Amino acid sequence: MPEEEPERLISEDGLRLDGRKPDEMRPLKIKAGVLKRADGSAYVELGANRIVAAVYGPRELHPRHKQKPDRAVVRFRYNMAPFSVDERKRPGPDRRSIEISKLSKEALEPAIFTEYYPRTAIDIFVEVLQADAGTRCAGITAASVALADAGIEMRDLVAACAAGKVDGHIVLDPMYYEDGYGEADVPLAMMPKEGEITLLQMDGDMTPEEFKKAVKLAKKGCKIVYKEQRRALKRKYGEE
Amino acid sequence: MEPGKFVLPGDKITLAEAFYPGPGTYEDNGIVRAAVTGVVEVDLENREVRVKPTVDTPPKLREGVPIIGRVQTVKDQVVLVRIDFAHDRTDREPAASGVGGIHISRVRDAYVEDLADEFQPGDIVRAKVISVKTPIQLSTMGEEYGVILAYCSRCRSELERIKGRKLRCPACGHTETRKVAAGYLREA
Repeated sequence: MPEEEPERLISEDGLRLDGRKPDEMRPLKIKAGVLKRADGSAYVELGANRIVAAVYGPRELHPRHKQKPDRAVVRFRYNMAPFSVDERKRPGPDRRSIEISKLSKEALEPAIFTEYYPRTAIDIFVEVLQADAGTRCAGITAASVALADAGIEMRDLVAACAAGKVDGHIVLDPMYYEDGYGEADVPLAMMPKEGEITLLQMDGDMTPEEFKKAVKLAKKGCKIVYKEQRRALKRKYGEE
Repeated sequence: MEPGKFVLPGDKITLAEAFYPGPGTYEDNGIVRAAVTGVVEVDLENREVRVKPTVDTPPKLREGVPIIGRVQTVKDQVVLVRIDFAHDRTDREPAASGVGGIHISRVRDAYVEDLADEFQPGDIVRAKVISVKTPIQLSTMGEEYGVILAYCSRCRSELERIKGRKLRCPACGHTETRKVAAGYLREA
């Protein structure tokens, strides 16, 4: 983050700091199956975000009293590397990452057929190697591909994308400065097949109209993310 | 709906009116969709569509699946085995938690006088799942099932098979009996 706030986040001709149009996403790259020891894994690059997701299980759950007799327990850990941001991040879970872990779990759980794997745990680990705003969305996107890579039965993939308000404009997929100096941020996760929303948050202020616009834009972003998720899985498992 | 088509979780395969949802698929609102990544298979005889996974899927316990585990306890009527591997896969943990029981009547195709002559705690056992409803039921009926590695009850050395169901300890010479599987790992 620069010491001083940039004078304006959106130029006169309506372009953003990195030259994007308001409804344009950052370049997105997804790769499935990047880790050998994990049952499923994925790597995501969204702008300068670098995220690895790993899935283990369904496997035995300890302690026993935490097992659910009728379904699997999904556990999610979102973690940022100490070197993922400009100022060294103190390692380990903090208030923010505990919250993100909880809601990412709740964003993915509706897509998983947990009832097919009773008395087990599905462990999802998301490691942020480099953060550039929108890591929770990129983390959910990566985790969903990793779950598919693990061969766990699912209703649909989960795609996630954020929208924000910057200099009074509603923009898609805010980057670092826009997130830091912008007015609002709306992360959204959905199952694109039925359009079911599994995560929706808002940080900052927006009018109801702006909020509706932001949700619409974020949904559009999810469609783009979804296409890239499909491409990643097809690349790995499509052609024999 | 085309056989051999590559599908991802959530992809529409066909209408539920036309086909039953088979393994790897699910029905939602009258539509049969894929639940795993793979290729579509159509069974016209049973009017069922399936998805044959191209991804590695979790080793699930089902009836008839072979498992490998370690004997925890030997009781009067039942032997408790902690299930470590299913489907002979050592690279991925089974998608199940816990222990299975081998009832004295399911140990072998003959009368069993005393379970302690068939299993001892610590033995490594290959068995077959006969019921996945908890408590999980296992069976060692059949040649290929039974103890694949046993330990001496005096000195804990690995026992060697002499002949049939007779095992001998190479360290202390103690002899014991087991329900020995065809693939027992140490031959004298």
